[in-house]
Amino acid sequence: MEQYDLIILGGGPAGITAGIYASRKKLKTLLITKEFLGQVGLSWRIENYPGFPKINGRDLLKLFHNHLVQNEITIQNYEEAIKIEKLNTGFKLKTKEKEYNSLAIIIATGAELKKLNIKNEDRFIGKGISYCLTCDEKAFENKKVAVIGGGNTGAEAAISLLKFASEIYLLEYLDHLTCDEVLKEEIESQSRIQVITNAETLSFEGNEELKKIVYQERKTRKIHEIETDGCFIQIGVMPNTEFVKGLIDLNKKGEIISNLKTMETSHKGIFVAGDVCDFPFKQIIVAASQGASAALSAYLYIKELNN
Amino acid sequence: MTEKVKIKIYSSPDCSYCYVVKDYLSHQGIELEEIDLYEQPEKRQEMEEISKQKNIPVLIINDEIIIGWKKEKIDEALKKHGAI
Repeated sequence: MEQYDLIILGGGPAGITAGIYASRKKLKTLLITKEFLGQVGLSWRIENYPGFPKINGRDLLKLFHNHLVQNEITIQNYEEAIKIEKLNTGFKLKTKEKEYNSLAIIIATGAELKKLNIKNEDRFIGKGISYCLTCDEKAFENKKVAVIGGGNTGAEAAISLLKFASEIYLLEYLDHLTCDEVLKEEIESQSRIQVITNAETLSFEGNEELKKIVYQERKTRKIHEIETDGCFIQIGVMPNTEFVKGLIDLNKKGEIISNLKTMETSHKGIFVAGDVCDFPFKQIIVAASQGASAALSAYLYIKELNN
Repeated sequence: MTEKVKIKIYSSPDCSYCYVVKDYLSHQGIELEEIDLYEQPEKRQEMEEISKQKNIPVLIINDEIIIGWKKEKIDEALKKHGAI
């Protein structure tokens, strides 16, 4: 059995930063990730990470990764953690392929895109519906497209679609867009983007392909239809915590409850960082900062264990 | 003699999941034919007809079609067709 001081789970900004900090503390570190991607890798335009006024998410992640591999760290890419077991000293981490032991663990497994779970959503995936803007926006050249979700990701999707789509609808459940003010201004200045607030999406309709989105205006309760060729669903994320249920405390959203000073979880020796924890602001710089804090806390914890 | 497995991907340079699928196959030492839909937009229709949908990446292992980044399905198909 391979024994490490620290195992980091996740290959996004939180896990990568934790890896850099841990290896600089000379911890024998293993980073396991099911892929180097995270939510950052899906983003087409990042404008709020210092030092990079405008950068594509995958390019930023590539730079993070290049920085990581310059350090002394073992990386298992394309492996996924399925279980953590407590040992007398430390933990056993099981993936689908192997088992590893370590004194401490940092969970930075991030989050997956949420589905709406409404009528005909699955039926039209690939037939108009997509969750990956960078993959599929080009399929809607000169077509009408809707984006569901008025947060930063949704707003950025609507702006990106200006390159291809003829008309864009941006649907938001609340009575206002929740994205950054600069994005709001950009959207308001674009006549080809129509913002629809208070919209509860009810179903997708069509025959072979998506043709209509049905939504209810939440104040008047009136049912409306939008004719559209495509729809990008960008309504936020769900934490990847299935494999730690029952071992550490989670909040109602399934996020790992953390001590934000130390990034400790409810289980001694297990730390957390990034979108998977219960901090409300899901940002790249927050994830990176939490990755650093988690690695430094894990270092102090391991040092104490070894004394 | 075993016949060589034919592996083809329809992708585009901005597509994050396409990048992951290609990197995963290269990690396994597997060569593939790549059809870049930015370079060859006329191939989009062919891709849509073969996969009966519009999203990418579309990976074809012999006659098996895998849409998106689905590691387990890719592993299964690679094993089934003797590519790994």
